[in-house]
Amino acid sequence: MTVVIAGFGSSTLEKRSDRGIAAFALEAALAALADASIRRDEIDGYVGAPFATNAGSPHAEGGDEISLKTVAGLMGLRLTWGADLYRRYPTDMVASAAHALQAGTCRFVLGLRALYVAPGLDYATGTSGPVFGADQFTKPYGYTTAGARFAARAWAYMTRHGATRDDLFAIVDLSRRHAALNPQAIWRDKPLSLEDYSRGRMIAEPHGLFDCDLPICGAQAFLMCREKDLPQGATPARVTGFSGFARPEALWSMSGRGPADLKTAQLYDGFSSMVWEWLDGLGLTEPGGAPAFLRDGNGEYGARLPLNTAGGALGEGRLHGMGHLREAYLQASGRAGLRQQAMGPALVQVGPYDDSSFVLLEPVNV
Amino acid sequence: MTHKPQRPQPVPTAETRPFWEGAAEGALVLRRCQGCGRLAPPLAPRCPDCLCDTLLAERLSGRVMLKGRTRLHLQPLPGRTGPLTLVECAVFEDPRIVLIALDEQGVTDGALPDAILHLGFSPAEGDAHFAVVLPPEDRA
Repeated sequence: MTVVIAGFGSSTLEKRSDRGIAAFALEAALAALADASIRRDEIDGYVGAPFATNAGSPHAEGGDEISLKTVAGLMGLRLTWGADLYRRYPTDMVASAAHALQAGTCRFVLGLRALYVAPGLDYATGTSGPVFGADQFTKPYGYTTAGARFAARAWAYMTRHGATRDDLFAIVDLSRRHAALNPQAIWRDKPLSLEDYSRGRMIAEPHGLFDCDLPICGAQAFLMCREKDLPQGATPARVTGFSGFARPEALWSMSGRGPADLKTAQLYDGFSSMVWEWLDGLGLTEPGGAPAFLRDGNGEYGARLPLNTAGGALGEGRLHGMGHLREAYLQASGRAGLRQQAMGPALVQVGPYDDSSFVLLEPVNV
Repeated sequence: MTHKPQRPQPVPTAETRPFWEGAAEGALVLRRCQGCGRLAPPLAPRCPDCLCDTLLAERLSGRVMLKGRTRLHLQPLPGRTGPLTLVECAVFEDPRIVLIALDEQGVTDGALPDAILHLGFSPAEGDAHFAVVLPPEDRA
């Protein structure tokens, strides 16, 4: 049974806002409903992933996180099924929505992810005090601060494979150039020279300021349904595969596709070096080959594998992978406008090297 | 009575207590599975391989391999200034187990991945002794 994404919506994206997270969430949800030509009363399923991942988060419902209960109440949703996926990603939201639709539990699933920068808090650093569980082995060392663990991994990768900060800049530069064609990207009018990049202060070596995505206030939402229920006026993209990172081969067996079939790739870039992980990890490049692949221009528009075509998180702002999913939908449904690349299998990967998931979207009439 | 701001303090459980008790004696202590012999990560309630629940604390060599390294320029810890060097240490006896430590004496400056290091523990900060990379002269 074929399942599609029938529409996508976004709030405005802002560095700071006087509006609360719920305002962004509802703005995105209503935009998604309008985009899919679906009425609020038709929504009978919901999936979210509300966790705020920054070290300084107070995890306040309706503050810097928003979950099903709050959204359903504020939108007057009457749900047959809904779930928030704890500490998971938009790619997992798609898989869960697909399961519910394929099981016949519901007809129209709203998927929503909102992020918010709460004022007056130190975004990147945690507090002192008692630490529990896995935190007891990380927080006393500052390891959860500013992506230290991704920086430590980038150091090892670069040292082993001879990559340099110029290779990191190549990722940031590509993101900024692609963001220029994304009207809502935070960095749309902000190209970055190598000199500017080099002047950015160090955060966690080898990552400087511009290797880190910018925390923002914003939300994005999608609408999913079975293909036969597609509302008139909606433009679908077919969900042809999904898998967890430990079994990437399941993405290919489910979709009947392989790495060579990909027309675009949206790879998670909370920190620039993360883009290398799944170029290598999915076998798109040889181990250690990702920096040279990008240096040679293979991720550019019109090239072998156009990458992060809306600017990724480094160009658009920190939507924790929702922006990546949205862009894959727009590419696979032929709605990417000036950014449109060859239509065909569009890959989305969200999450870190040791905990990611993948979704493959494809055009419906090909 | 004044409270100096201090590093986050671990709250041990039955599983992690042997690690912190070992740390207080300056030793790296992990638990070994009595079913299959593999070392268990500090949080594990059972052996991740054979799921046996008999894990006995064992004092290890403290030898580790450098897995990752960063100099952190945002200062997350109280009472410290300047960049902080964090290292990921793969335990020599089982490199699947990775522990985080500070390198406050520049021992890993210029080191390469997989360099052999020695892990020790700091004097108490608050109630806890935290992992540090030892300079060569401090090796047990």
